[in-house]
Order: sequence, then structure tokens, then C-alpha cells
Amino acid sequence: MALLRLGAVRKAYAVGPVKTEVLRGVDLAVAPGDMLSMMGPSGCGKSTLMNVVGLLDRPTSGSYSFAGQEVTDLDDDALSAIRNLKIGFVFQAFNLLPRLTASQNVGLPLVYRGLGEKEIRERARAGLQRLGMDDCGNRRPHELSGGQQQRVAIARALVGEPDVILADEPTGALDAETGREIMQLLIRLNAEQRLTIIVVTHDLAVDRLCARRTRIRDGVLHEQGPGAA
Amino acid sequence: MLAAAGSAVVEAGDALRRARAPALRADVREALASLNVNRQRTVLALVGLALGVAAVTAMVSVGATAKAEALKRFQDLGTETLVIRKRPDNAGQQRAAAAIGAEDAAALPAQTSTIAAAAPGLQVFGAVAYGGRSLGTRSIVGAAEAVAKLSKLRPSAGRFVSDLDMQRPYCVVGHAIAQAMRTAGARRVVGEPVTLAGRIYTVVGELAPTPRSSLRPFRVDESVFVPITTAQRVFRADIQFVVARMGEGANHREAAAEAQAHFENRVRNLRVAVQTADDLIAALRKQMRLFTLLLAAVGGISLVVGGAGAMNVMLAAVTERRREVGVRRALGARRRDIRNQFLVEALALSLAGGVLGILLGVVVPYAICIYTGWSFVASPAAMLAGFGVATGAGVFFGAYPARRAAGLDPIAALRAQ
Repeated sequence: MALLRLGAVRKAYAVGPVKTEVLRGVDLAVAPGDMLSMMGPSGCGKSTLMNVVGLLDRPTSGSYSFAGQEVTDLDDDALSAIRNLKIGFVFQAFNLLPRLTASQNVGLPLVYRGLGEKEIRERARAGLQRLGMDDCGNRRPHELSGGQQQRVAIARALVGEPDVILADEPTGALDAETGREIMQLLIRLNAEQRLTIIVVTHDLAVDRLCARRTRIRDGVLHEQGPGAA
Repeated sequence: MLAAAGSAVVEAGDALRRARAPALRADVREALASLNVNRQRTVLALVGLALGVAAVTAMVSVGATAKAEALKRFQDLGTETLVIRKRPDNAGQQRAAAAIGAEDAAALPAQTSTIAAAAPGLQVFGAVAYGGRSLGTRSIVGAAEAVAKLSKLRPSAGRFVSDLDMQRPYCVVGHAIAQAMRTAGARRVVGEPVTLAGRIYTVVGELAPTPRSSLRPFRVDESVFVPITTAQRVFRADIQFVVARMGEGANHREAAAEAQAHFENRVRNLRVAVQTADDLIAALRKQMRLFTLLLAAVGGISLVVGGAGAMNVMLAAVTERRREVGVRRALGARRRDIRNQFLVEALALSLAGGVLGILLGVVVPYAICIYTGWSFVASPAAMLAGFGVATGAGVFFGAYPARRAAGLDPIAALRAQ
């Protein structure tokens, strides 16, 4: 059974009188342990799809069940709760909060679970250690390199032990070498912990590292066979 | 297994909805940090808020001080005392024709239904000397024996002048005069000779320190008292005032009217003014109301200006931190978590202004007290009011920016620079 199942998902935006349909019937089933890429040129709708999958946006029509539960009609608070408990986000621009230390950034999702400060600190420390970032806990984002920042961001995505990691162009702001390291890290997490990971990218090198590859074209998702370009 | 996981999501969501605390400590810490980042803007908003809160605190504090002051004034004298004073004569009329008569003063309690006791007095100013040293020009009060009781004058040594002293050269000195005598070398005061306007008197009593009051027509501490008969003869002076006490349950206005009619009907052309505790309290209130109005105006304007400043700080913070809001929403913050975060920040700002304001609001009434000579009362109610106003301003002016932050679309917010 699928962890995520999207059926005929459509998303349309109305800009003034002009209605643009960005997603035109996306069908997708993601199984636990999948390492999935979504690739396509800019403007193809992959960000919109990512937002829908990440419960930041609602489809105009279609169905979406998350871990067996239909989520399209949940209220904002319930969606926030699922994001908090079940989804880990990794962004292209890292999106660490500049005023917080690395450790505080990592602990942020747990703050919204109402956990005690001591537990949050402990889990954040353990999370950073897991990614070999023990020394950076008290530094602020501007004191870290891009690769380090993305590692902190991944630690933040992992700290709540989510069911799925959504990585939106995770290597887009990094040089090729650092980008490869970050991808290797994600692949290792997928392999060792059977963590479900969805990577949105327009980079073929990233796409090739994923076990399951999809393409978005004209608002529709196409599965790629193994070995295809 | 996944179906179970699904219901776990729902359960967890429900649990979160119930149990998720607003993470207040983290909010407060971040609020302070973020206010510190925009220090200049924060300080400007603080000044306005502080002034507003100060004015409100001062307003309540002045009220409390006034109340205490009024209480103090009447505590020792009682509110039943009234003073009848002879008004200055109209031009062209002879002084002798319009004086308060000693018999009329004595007859006042018997002839009216509201006055229980009355005693006449007069006041002149003359040189006072002791042991060959001048004590300056002082108030010399000719007083009937009953003035002591009616004006609550207490001898700390010896006695007050008596009606039986008749025209003898006896006198009683107020506290400050006695002190002056001691400075001039007196070992004891009672029994010593003093010179009043060139004549020698024997001190028969010394009065305990007595607070000033408008219901005592003379400053007790700075006066020398002689029998009224002596004063009338030596200084050729008329009775100038009558100190009286109302009967129990008598109405201030009625008593004043009766007393005035009593004297004005007996002597042609005599005009008297009657002062009661009510008049004094009214005058005190009027004075306080002026301060209060002034402070209310300053407080109102400052609060609006400071509040607008605080709102500006918060709106700018929301705009600058749209991306942060987006990130927090993605990580699972609910709208109300975002709203609370910015509300806490607005509250931190206005409470900081409040603390400054309360400090100011205590110093200002203190200064007013020094200026007016009232005794200062630190009012917990005033501080509470200041605290309340600060909190109110924080919530009121923070609510709109906080709602705006909470209402941001997470996707748009994440895209913000």
C-alpha cells in the first residue's frame, strides 16, 4: 500500500480573468522507502506539485491520501500538524532562520510539538551529530558554508522522524562537489533507514541518482523506466 | 500497517490540537532578539509608549496622593470645623462700624441650630525678641481659650492661654517659635520672658508641632498666642475670625449659611466669609482635576503616537520576516502559533515601554509633590494601571500585524526575499 497516493490531482490558478491550469491530472503512488525524483523544466508545475504533496497547498480537484487518510478536506490546523509530524522539508535556499543557532534551527519543528526545552536541545544535538555536525551547534547560519547549512537543514527535516522528506532542488544553491555530497547523504538515509525521499530537480545528475524517476510535462507526471535518459 | 499509520496521523493531529503549548519561552526569547535587531525603530516606539504609560501612571498616582492629602488635612482637625472670617470693608465705610462683636461670637452656638461651639480670635504681626535677640516679625494671635480645643492645639508643655488670664501679659508659643528661643539660648521655654511688639510677656505654654490647614486661620507653629482680651487692648485690633464646630449631623452648607446670616444680620455693613471642609475639599479636587486632565491629554496622545510607532515596528517586522513565517509554517506552525509569536513580540515591546513609563510615572508625581508640598504616596494602583495600559496597547496595536503574519500564504511567504 502506498504512503502517498495522488489521484487525478488538478491545480488551477486564476490570475485576473485568465485561468491557468498548472497540474492537469497527476496520478502518483509513493511507497515507503521510495527514493523518487520529479524532474522537469522550470514552469512545468513541479513546485506546485511539491506544495500539494507537502500539504502547503490544496489541489483544485482530485484526491490525495497521506498514510491512508484523505487529506484534501482537512482544515489548516490539521494540515499543519501533519506537516509537523510526518513531513520533513529541505529547501534549495536552506531556509535556516538567521537569528537562531544551528541547534535551535534543528529543534524548531519540535518547538511546535510543545516538547520541553531540554528534550528539544538533546534531540537537536543528536540530530546534528548524526550528520557529523556536532561542532556547529552554537553557530549561526551565516557562520556556516552552504554545504554545512544544507546539512543543518537536513538535520532539521529529520529531527521529527518524519515519514517522508521533500527536497526541493536541494543541490541548487551548492557547487557540484558539495551537491554530490548532499545527494550521497540523502541516498544513504534512504538506503540505511528506508526513509522515503522525494527530490524535485531540474538537474539530470541529481535525477540519475534516484532509484525511481519521474518527469513532469505539461502538468502531467510520467514515470521513467530504469536507465532512461 | 499503513491504515494504522493513517489513523495514527489523525490521532497525533488531535493530540497536537489539544496539547500543543504555544512554546512561550521560545517566543519571548526570539521576540527580545528580534527587537534588538531593529534597535533604532524599537527605541522610538518605546519613547512614545513610555510617555503614554507614564502619564497614565502619574494620573492615577496624583489621584491617590490627592486623596491621601485630603485625608491628612482633615484627620487631625475633623471635617466639622468651620472658619468665619471678616471680609475686607468696602471703601468709605468706617472700620469700627463693621466688626465682629465678642458677644455675637459667643452667642453663635445658642442662636443657630447647626453650630455647637465657637471662639473668636484675631491676628497681628509684630517684632518678637527673646533674651535681647530678635526672632523676627512674627504672627501674634489673640485667641479665646476655646480656640485651642476647636483648632486642636495641644500644649507640649505648660498650658494654653485662658479666658481667666484676662489682660495679663501671658503668651503661648508655637513649635517653631519655641525652637527659635532654644536656638537663642533658652534652656526651657515655659516661664521665660519674651518681648512682643515692645512689651514683655511670660511664656506659659508651648504647643506641639501642628500641620498647616486652611481651617486654622493662622500658622500654629509660627505664631505666638496671647489672650484675646490682651490682644484687643494692646494692639487695638478687632476680632477677625471665629473658629466654630458644627453640631453632629449638621450640613456644611446650612451651617455656613446660618453662621453668615447670624453675623451679617447683627452688624450693619459687616460681611463675612465662611469656609467649611467641603469648600476645601472642592478646591483640592479642582486643582487635582487640572493635573489629571493634563495628564490624561498627554497620556492619550502619547499612547496613540507610541502605539502607532509600535504597530509600525511590528508591521515592518512582519514584512521583513515573511520568509521566516513561511519556513515556520512549513515546519508545522499553525496560524495561531505565528500570531502568538508576533503578539508576544508586540507585548514585549509595550511592556518594556510600560516599565520605563511606570518609572517615569512615579518620578513625575514625586516632582509634583515636591512642587506643591504634598506628601508623596506610592500607589500600587497606579503601577497596576500603567501595567494594564502597556499590556492593552501591546495587544491592541500588535493584533493587526500579528493577524497579518498569521494570514500569510505559506507558499508566497517562502518565496519572499
